[in-house]
Amino acid sequence: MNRQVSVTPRQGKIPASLAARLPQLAGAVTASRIMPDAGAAGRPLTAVITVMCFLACLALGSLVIISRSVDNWTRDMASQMTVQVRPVAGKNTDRAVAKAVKLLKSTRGIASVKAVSAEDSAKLLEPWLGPAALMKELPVPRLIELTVDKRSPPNLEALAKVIATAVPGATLDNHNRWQKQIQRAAGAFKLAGYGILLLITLTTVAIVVFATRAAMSSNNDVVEVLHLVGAADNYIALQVQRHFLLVSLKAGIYGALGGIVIFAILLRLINGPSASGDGAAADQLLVGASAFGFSDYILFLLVPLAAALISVVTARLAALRILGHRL
Amino acid sequence: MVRFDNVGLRYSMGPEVLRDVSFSLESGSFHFLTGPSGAGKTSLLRLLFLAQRPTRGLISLFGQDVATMPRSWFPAIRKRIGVVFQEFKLLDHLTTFENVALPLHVRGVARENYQRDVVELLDWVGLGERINAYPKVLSGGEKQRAAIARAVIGRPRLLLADEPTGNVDPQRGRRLLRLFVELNKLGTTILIATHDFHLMDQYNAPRMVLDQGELTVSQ
Repeated sequence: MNRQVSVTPRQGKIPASLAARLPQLAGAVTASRIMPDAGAAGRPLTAVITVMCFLACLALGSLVIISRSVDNWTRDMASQMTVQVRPVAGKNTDRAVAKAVKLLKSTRGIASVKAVSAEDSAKLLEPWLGPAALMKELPVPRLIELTVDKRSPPNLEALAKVIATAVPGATLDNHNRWQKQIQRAAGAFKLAGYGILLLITLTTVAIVVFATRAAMSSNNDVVEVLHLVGAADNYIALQVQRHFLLVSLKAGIYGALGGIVIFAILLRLINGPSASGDGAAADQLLVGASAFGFSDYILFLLVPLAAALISVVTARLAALRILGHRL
Repeated sequence: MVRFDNVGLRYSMGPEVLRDVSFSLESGSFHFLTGPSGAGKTSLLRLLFLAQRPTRGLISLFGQDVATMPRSWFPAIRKRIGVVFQEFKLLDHLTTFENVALPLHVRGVARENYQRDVVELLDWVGLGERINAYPKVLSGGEKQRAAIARAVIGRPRLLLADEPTGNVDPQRGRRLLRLFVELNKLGTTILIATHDFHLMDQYNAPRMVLDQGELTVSQ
């Protein structure tokens, strides 16, 4: 044997030409390079996860808007009520309204009381019943708007009985029926939103499982060599999950950025261009701008993190399962 | 170190490719494994580096019964074994340096602790100018030398080589044989599968002859 040879020459000298090239090897055998990038776990996976994250952002944003809008609606409806005074034969309706207003103002837990004038009532009904002048001949009920003090609300059942007894033809409408309907509808929308998010998650898991299998299959030689040089399943799974971490994080960021842009455009379209007066109030009726603020977009940044977590855990479990079937 | 007792191997429902193979390799020994093509040399090596389980018989590696050994122990056993494959099995997306350093990387050795060793070994096997080249641009001989360097870089206790000099010129073949002899002197058990009688004639070592799945040992 050549005397210069040392099989593992830890203290050995190497030629100057080679020593000069050592710095070029600074990036040698980085963990992320052990599994090649190509195959189903590359660009196609990036594209699919991008789309999934984009859809997740839209679903998440919609959920936030629905939840917040419904909260706003029900809060307003819970604090605002109406007393309806129907004309009764032989009774003066104006006097009945005045009596009801007096009674309501003296009731604890009522923050404000405002009777809608006969003219205003006629104007409200004009689109359906024609000119206000004609309505003088019709027995149109009068309305009293009242706002409840949320901190100490009155006993509504008792109030309804008192007002019905004291003022013939008067009834209290606490909007309970509408409130319940809206809450039911909102609950259904929320459920659908969570269902969509769950479907997106399950689809992502299925795609990552498929991609992991494809990656393991196309890199069969790499896995075999890694095993034969002594790599444990955990080591190989770590290489696989690192690869999926990078892919899913990158794809997640693309998807979230796309989601933010499209969501902002959609919100702008829903809220419309008018921003003042009655028009703005009408625009805000269904989905107010306040239902989704700037800080809510931070939620979208959680989507890439969730995608990365789902991908990494799924890829690791799938890889370990596949490796477990090998020698 | 290695013990085979009446080992038999068949693939699926085919005929037995190894029949009643019995032998032992003592620690620090040097053996050639020879026989005609298709005699079962590669299958025997696959059993030795745990890529295959025997259909019957007993295999003991480093004092452990392979049949009862938990699969989780395989990596630790394989780290003690260096393998030179006939088809090299270099990873195409890694450079020559990275391929040779792979066993050390897998063991968690820091790069700065193996960089010089790998470069020096590559230089010694004549690949000093090819450290950043990818396997696709290496010749058959260069790939073979890279595969040998990868097998020996971790100073294995058992080195298995399948036709390690099949693609190199005689002078390079002698140099590689010297590398194996030197490793053997350092205590590594060597088993070289070859049908190159010229190579076997250069070093006096017992020859295990496989023929139609049956093994005989001659000096």
